[in-house]
Amino acid sequence: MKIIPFYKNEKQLINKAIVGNADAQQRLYTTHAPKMLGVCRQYIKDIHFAEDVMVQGFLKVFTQLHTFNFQGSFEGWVRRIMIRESISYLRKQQFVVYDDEVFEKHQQQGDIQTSDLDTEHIQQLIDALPQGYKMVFVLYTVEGYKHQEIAELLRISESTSKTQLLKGRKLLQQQLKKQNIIGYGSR
Amino acid sequence: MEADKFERHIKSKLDAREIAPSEAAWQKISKELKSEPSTKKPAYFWLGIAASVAVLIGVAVFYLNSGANELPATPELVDTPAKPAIEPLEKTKQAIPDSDSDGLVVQEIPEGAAKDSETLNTVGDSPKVDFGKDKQEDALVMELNQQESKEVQLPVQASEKLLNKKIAEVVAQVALLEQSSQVTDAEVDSLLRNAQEAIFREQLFKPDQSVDAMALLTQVEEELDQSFRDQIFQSLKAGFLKVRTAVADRNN
Repeated sequence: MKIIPFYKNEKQLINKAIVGNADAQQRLYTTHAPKMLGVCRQYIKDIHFAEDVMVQGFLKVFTQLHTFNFQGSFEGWVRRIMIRESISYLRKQQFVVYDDEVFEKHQQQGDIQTSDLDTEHIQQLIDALPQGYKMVFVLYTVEGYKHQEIAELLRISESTSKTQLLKGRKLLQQQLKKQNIIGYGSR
Repeated sequence: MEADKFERHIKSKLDAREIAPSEAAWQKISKELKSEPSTKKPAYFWLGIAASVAVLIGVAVFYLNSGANELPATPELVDTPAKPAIEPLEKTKQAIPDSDSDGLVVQEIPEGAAKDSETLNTVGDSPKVDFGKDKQEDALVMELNQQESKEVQLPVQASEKLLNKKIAEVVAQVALLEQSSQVTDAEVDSLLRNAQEAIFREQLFKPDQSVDAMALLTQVEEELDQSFRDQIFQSLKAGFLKVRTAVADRNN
């Protein structure tokens, strides 16, 4: 019973925000911004850049709000915009290298000192991945995208997406082994 | 399995993660959102202007191009030589009343079949009408430019014999045709045209072996005036004759 009024409330807020109601826009923003900054942070290591991308994402959300057809959750729709915005940011920065050599280079690295696998530690592990692996890994593991969707989003082939994911996983496991914390996730 | 559980753990942790953005973030968004409606309208406005300008340029280019295509094709180039080209035509006609051409036509009518006298009369009539006009024009021309008329008269006299000969030929041909079958206006017209062309061709060379510029121009004029259809027919005819001879040679 609590969820339905909230949803109705959100729909009203969205409708008001479409018209240009600043209050409704701010309420939508304060509701979703912290989570969306977390999404952007998954892809962008620097929190300030991640916030800039989130701002751009929300601007897109409010300008394209009339295209939201209320099918599926609003949060999911905003999340997809944030992911696309993050990817296009990384593409502009030319951070993404889908290169096999990166894998060998990163194998020697092991600068994660923390033994506690809290969220920040997880983020550090993911941050340590090469950009190409990281994007595929996060999109597949966290966002639940299929390889076909990832391939379209990142403009790569499906097989590249699969190999990137495998290599990303392997690299993560190696990092965890080094820190003797592989059993953490199986608990 | 371990890796799978680990990934699920990562997912749950990252999904639940929330990072509070700075206050400046919303200020940026609200500022952009406020400025957007004012910037959007001019964007559409300028787009509209740009589109209309593009359309105008396109239309102008289209019309200018079509105009440019027409300009070289304007008959100005053709007209300027056409004016003097008419004069020799009229001059030859002018020679006709002087000679006994009328007499010839009239004389030949009773010799030929009387049934088609109408067609011949029309042939005879049309020059008569022209002669009146020509005479008036000639009188004006004579008054204005006596020198020119003197110059013109010389070749006219020289070609009198030629004209008489040609008229006699045409009349004889018409008579021959009439004997065999009925003569149509078109046939008579074509005979007259051929005769006229032949006269011009022969006029081309003056007795002193020089080339008459006006006659040459007139001839070129006629060649230019020849319709596209005629040209096609001529080329077809030439092609057909070639093929016929080729086939005949092969059989030999």
